[in-house]
Amino acid sequence: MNKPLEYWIALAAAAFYVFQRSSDKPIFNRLSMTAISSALGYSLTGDLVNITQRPEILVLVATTTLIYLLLDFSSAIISDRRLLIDMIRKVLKK
Amino acid sequence: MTGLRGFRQRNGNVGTVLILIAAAFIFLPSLFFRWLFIDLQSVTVNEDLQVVVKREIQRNFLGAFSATLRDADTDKIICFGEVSQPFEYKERAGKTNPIAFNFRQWASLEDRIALYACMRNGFLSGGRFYITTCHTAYFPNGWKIGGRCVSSNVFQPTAAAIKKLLED
Repeated sequence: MNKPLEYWIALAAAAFYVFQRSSDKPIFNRLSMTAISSALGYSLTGDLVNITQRPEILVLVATTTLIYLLLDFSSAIISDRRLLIDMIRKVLKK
Repeated sequence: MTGLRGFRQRNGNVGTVLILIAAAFIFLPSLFFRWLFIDLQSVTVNEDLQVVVKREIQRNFLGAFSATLRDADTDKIICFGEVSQPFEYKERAGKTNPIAFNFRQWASLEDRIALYACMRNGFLSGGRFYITTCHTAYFPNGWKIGGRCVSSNVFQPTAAAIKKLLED
């Protein structure tokens, strides 16, 4: 938890960006998506900095926003049942 | 709005493209580092502090490396060394495999003051340690492309090896 102030400002900015992005969703979904993205971004940053040798704040922002995109995409796929069923049918027909 | 249409409306914009470009720039070079620049397969240090390295240099590139010596039980950093300037890695040099290195050379501890500092921090016989070696590649203009880190085995230096290290 002993991170510089810049780190927390960057995390707050990334979290706010994620919150803003999902403006058409119910408030609970927006909050949970923001919390999940920020928590995973915070937790994974240390390891990813070691692997990539990139500045910590840059990795934090990229990870948090990328996780949001992945979460949003996967929830979109899951909620689009008709599309999912069509895709499964197509695969099974082949 | 739900489903993929909603996803496209929320994220089909310049912001998303910028995030993806930034993420690709940050993560992809490290992901493909071993195939693009140098594949450090293993770093083995024995109790006499002899370092044996298996690596493959894929092409000539401008690079640098750093080494962090850690206490294997507490993960505490004992010392850190790095080359002061990036230098040219030569593809043909990577063909000799495995290759032996001097411990002080590998751990960037050629400076005696740095070696003494390590010892003050607990690099003594009987302790259990490991080295994490990180390679970084640079563009010719000096901008960092990416890097990759590899940890050695855990080793326990003997008193004789530490004494020899100080005498070298």
